[in-house]
Amino acid sequence: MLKLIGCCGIIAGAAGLFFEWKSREKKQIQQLQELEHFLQKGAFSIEKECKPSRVFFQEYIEWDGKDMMFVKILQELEENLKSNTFSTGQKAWQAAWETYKEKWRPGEEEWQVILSMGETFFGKDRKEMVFQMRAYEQRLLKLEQAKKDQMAEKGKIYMPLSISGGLMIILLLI
Amino acid sequence: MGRFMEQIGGKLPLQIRQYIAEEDGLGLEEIRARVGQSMEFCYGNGEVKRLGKIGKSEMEEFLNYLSGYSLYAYEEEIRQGFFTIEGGHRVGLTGHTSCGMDGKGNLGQILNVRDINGVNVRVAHEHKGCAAKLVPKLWKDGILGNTLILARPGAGKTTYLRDCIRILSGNGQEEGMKICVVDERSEIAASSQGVPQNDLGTRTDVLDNCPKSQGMRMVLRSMSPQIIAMDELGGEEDFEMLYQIIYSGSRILGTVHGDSLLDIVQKPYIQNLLQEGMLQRLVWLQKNEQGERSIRVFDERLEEIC
Repeated sequence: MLKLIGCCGIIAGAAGLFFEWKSREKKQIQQLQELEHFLQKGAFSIEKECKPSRVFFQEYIEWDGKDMMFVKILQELEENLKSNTFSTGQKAWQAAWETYKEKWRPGEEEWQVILSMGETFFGKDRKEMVFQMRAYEQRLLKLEQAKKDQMAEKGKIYMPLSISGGLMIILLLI
Repeated sequence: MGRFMEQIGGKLPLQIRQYIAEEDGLGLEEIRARVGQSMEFCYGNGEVKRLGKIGKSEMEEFLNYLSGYSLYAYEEEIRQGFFTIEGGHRVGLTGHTSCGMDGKGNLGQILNVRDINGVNVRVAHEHKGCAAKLVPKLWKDGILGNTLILARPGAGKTTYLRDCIRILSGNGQEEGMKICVVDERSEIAASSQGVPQNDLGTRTDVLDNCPKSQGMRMVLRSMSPQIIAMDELGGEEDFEMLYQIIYSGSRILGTVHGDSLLDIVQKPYIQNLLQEGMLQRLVWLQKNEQGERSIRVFDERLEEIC
């Protein structure tokens, strides 16, 4: 009976590890999608509605933000901008992201895109800003696709590996 | 934090802000910044305070704060040389202009102003009640006369116009008149996100950031106003629209700037309006060296009423 419980525990543990990895990967993909959505909305707001960036951020916080951490980052940014203590919007953007970097856990390339995104919301030329936003959106889409491919590939290895590993431990125990 | 620090003081470059922490902004009329020069605070009594020195980076910083880090959102206004910020304060700009070419190869419309090297923030004032004595003089035989407030720049035309609108529109206790304000430069109502920041009375509708002549046509067709009010009439189109307004039975309340009363009434458009009996009241507003204002009201024959 003890052996049976032990076997079940090991299988559950292996499956748990696998699903934990999978949900972490999914979360990162969702974060990328949030950034893409943010850029899409931003480009529309700036190109068609000519809204000041702070108005756009406030509306995004209120209506569009799905990822709670991203909403918190925007709220932090809003506080930074409101204080009028950062000489440029880019600096306020960077400071807000630095606060949440550990929690957001971006990849190296994603982090570079995030930092550069700040410039696109505080420029002087709308056409240039929208052009940059679309370019960053494309880069994020590529990152997302790469992440999805990597996840599918790793999934093919991790799934059988965790099951066979679990079975081997069970056999050893028996 | 006082209204001054909240609206303008908090938008100054950080190195300047420390000097004015105790400033209440009373009597302040202009803040001028030029690259390579000290920042100037000009007061109504002629006093000028000079603080710190503005470099190119401080100028960028100042513009970022003034525009809420969104200079791009003021693209259209900047082409005209100014933009208006929350509170109705007007930010005038100088810098390098890029012009398009007209059909004959001459320099045409201004496309952009970049490398901004000079900023002038004109502080908007809301003096409630300043026009209380003026408004009763604008009536003739029980009907509000078509009125133009005339003055030199900086004499307080917009402040008086705003208060006239507030009084005529009513305060909720007395029934006021239906007034439409065509606020081309957002200086009268100082709308922020579409909401007027200044008190314009209970029966006032504001068309914000709209070219005057187009705005006048729009409100005339759709809002059935008893009075249409607008600031700084100047173009031919503006004066042509005044005829339509008067013929349709609405009254006009506007401002025109010029160097002297004579200079203004000799302008062809105003002369025509006077000759045709379209204007019933002209108000000449003057400010002396101490910053005190005096008012003279004239009728259509240019005879002084008071």
